[in-house]
Amino acid sequence: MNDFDQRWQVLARKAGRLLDESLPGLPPGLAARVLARSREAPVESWEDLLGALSLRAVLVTTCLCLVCAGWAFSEWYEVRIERPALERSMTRELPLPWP
Amino acid sequence: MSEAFDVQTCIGRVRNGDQWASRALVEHLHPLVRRLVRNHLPRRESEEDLVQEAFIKVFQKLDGYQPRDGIPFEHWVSRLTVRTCLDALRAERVRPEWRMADLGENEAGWLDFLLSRQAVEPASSSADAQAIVTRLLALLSAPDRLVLTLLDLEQRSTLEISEITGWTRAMVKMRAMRARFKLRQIARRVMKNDFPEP
Repeated sequence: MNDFDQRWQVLARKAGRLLDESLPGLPPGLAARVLARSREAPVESWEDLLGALSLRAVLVTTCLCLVCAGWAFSEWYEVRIERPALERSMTRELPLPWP
Repeated sequence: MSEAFDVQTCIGRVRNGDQWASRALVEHLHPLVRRLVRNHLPRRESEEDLVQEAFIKVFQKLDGYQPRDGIPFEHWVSRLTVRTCLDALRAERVRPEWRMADLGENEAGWLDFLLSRQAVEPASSSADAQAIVTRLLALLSAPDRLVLTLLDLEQRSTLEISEITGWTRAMVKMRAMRARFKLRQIARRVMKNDFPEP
C-alpha cells in the first residue's frame, strides 16, 4: 500500500464514522406508497432491460448484426453476379442434344 | 427492529397479499435500505425517493426470491438496493466540478494531508473529512465510487461486497485499486490547477 492509499484509509475511516449516525425513522405512508406503486408499475420494462444490458452491449450487438448482414448481402450479391457467367459457359461447352 | 421478527413467515404472508405483513416487512427493512441509500446517494437524487424506489423493486421481485441456506434475506435486499443506487449513480451524467478555492480551510487541510503536503493528520471534525470524501468520490465513475464507499468507508470485506454487487472478489480488489489510483490523479489535478508548478 503506497503513501496515498494509507492516507486515504485514514481519511475514509474518519469520514465513515458519520455514516451510521442519525438515521431517520420510517416516513409516514411509505409502506402504502410502496405497495401501491409496486402493483401498478410493470415488473421489468424494456428500458430496465436495456439498462441492464448496458449501452455498450447493445452497441456491440448492433455492430455484430451489421457485419453479419453485410457479409450475408455480399455473399448473396456475388452469387447473383456469377450465376449468369457460369450458365453461359455451361451452355457453350455442353453439346446441345438437338440440332 | 424486533429480534423475534420471522422474515420467512412474513414473506409468505406478503406473497399471499397480507397488507399488514407488507407494512411490517417495510418497517423491518427500512434501516438497512435507508443506510445503503444514504451511503450511495447521487448528488441530485432525493434520499426518500431512492428508498421508495428500492422498496418497490424488492416487492416487485419478491416472488423470484428463493431462500438459500446461510444467506439471509437481508443480503438479497442489500443487493437489490445497491443495484438501484448504482443505476441512479450511472444516470447522473454530469460530474461536479470544483477547485481548491471552493473548499473550506479544514477540507483543504485534508486534501493537503492526502497528497502528503501536510504530514500530520488534521485535527478537524469527521464532518470535514466526510465533506472532502464526498467531493472526491463524486468525481469518480459509479462503480468506482460504489466500491470505495463499500470497502473503505463502510469497511466491508471483499466477500461481502462480492455478495452485494455480484462481482468476483478479484474484481472487487482490482476495481478498488484502480479507483484509488484515479482518486489520487483527481486530487493531484485539483491541487495542480490551484498551485501550478513553475
